[in-house]
Parts: sequence; structure tokens; C-alpha cells
Amino acid sequence: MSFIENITAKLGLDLGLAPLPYRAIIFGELGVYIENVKSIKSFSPLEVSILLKKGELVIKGENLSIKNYTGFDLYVLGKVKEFFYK
Amino acid sequence: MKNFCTYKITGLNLDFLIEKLKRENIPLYLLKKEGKKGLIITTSKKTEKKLFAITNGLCYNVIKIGENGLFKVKEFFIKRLSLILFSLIFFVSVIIFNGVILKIEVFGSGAVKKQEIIEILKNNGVKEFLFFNAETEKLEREILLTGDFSFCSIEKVGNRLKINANLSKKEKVEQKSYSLCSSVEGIIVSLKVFKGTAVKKVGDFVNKGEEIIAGYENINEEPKKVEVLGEVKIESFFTTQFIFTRKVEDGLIFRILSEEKEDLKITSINFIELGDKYEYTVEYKSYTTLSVGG
Repeated sequence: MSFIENITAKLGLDLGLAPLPYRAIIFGELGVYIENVKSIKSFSPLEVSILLKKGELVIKGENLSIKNYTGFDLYVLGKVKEFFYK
Repeated sequence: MKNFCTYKITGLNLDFLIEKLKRENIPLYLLKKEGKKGLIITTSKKTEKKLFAITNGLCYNVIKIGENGLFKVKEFFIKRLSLILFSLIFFVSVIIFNGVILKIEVFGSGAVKKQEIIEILKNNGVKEFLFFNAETEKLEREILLTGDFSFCSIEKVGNRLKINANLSKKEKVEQKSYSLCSSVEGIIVSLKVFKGTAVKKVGDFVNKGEEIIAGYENINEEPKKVEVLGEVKIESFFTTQFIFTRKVEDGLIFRILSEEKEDLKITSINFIELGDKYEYTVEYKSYTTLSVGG
């Protein structure tokens, strides 16, 4: 079982019934990993705005850069100060 | 190990370009903005042509600013191929030609028997214009065992093989010919028995006066008295001390010792300072050949 599946099982979430709009793992002040990404709306060293299948994720911080943007996931590296979904 | 390239792209609406590249399946390993119009992007080397093709049509300026991966190593070698090849050839030539003997030189009184020495070397695979890979100590031993030489030293200097050899003086033993006894203390290095019975063998230690060849032979299982005919060579070890008022060269010590003993080889020289004097302790070995009969 993968790390994510392990956590969702412990939280009692059934992802098959209610798939999430996104999944994110924040690594302290190093960055954040995000799944289910549709496209990047805007990108700058202070703010990254990501379009999801449903909704939008905004990440604010310092020295932000994007890594491994190849499929439907990516990493935002840098010091993350704010992270919110709208 | 993947091959990556890093590019700097300048232009307007870079966010649009990022999405365009992603839709064209160009892998975007790292994206970093530089100001309002600059974007640093790292992608696979394989997609370079595609990247340039896309950006060309869209008013973006693309400059390659870095490369890494295995292909960079390959390019490095290809660019410097002639230099690397030349260095390799030079290095191999030095090793090969340094190991080849171009000349064999014989010094000392043993130079009169140069042909015999060369013959011994040939039997051990040592010849001019051949690669030298023999042990010098083994060659020295073989030359000394002929009995004709009291001293032999072989040294390879560059492409030359220098052999320093001295002829031996055979010591006639004045004693009864029914026995050959040692006149010195040492180790037997060579033993030839033509008549009589050897009671010692090569490698044995003998004291002064000890019998080496006895004057009898077993004929039909009965001992019969015979006159001894044979030759033995004994290696003896000595330690001596000298005191000088100044430091001296090893050659001087060798000359001083050679006045007392002709056939010798110095094995070690050590000295200590005693105020204004120098005390030298010298260890050396000399060879004594004894023969009886003939």
C-alpha cells in the first residue's frame, strides 16, 4: 500500500466514492507536492496559481520555482507562506 | 543518467509558453522566473529541437545556458580526441621503451668474460632489444655460481643493463688430498665433487676447519679411500668498523676493504656522529673458493 493510501485508509476516506479535487503534501518550508493539476494559471517567484479540474490552488511564498511539471502533478519549491484553495 | 539542457527564454506571456510546452509533451524538469520577461527552464536534451521549433514561431528568445549528463562527457572526449590519443600513445611508449634493453655493458675485471655473462643472460631470457622482466638477484646468483666470478652486480639504468663483475682468484688449499676442509666460516654457495664424498651440501653453514669433502667413496657398498678432487665456494659475512674525522663516500670504504679482501660485496653501511668523528659500521660478504686435486 502506498504512503497516501495508508493515510487515507487510516482517516477512513473512501476515494472511490468522492475523489478529491487535489492532493498536496507540504514539506515544511521546502515546498509542496500537488496532484491532479490541470494547468498553471500564473507563475512568479512570489505566487503560483494552479488550475485544477475543479477550482484553483494559490501558493504564496518566496523564491518559488516549479519542478517536474510533466503530467498531472508537480512540485513547487521554495518557502511556502500561504496555501489555499478557491 | 539523463542528459539535461538548461535554457533561458525571454519574451512576454511566459505562462502561456509553459502550458504550450507541456501540451507538446516537452518534459519541464525545472522552471524558474527571472524578472517579468525571463524564464529559466531545464528539459531533456532529446527535446531540444522541438523546443526551438515551438519557440521560434512564437516570438521568444531562447539561449542555451547549461548542459549536464553523460553526453557532455562524451562530447568532452570527442573534442579532445587527438590530445587524448597522443597522450595515451606517449604514455604507452614510455612504459614499453623504458622496459626494453638497448645495450648490455660489462665492467670490472669480469669484462674479459663478457661473452659468458651474455650467454648466461640469454639463457634467462635477457637480450638486447627485448623487454626486461628478469630478477637481477637471480641473474647475479647464476653468474656467481659459475665459479669464475667473485663479485657480480646487475643494475638496469634506463635502457641499459650495467653488469659489474670481478674475476675470482681460486685459493689452493695446502692440506692432505684425502679431505677438503673449509678455511673460513660461512655458507656453501657452490660445491663440485669429482672424487670423494660430499659431507656438506649447498646452503650448509661450515665452521673454519670443518670437512666439506671426505676422501672416500662407496664402491660395492664398501668405503674405499680416494684422493679428493673438487671445488667449493663459501660465502662469509663480516662486520667491521671505521672511524673517520669526516663523512666519507661508500666508494672509499669499499676500496679500503678491497685491500684486505678481494672478493667482497658490501651489504650495509651505517654511521653515527661521535662529536667531531664519524663511526662507520660496515657489513659485507666475501667469497672464498677452495679447490683440491686437479
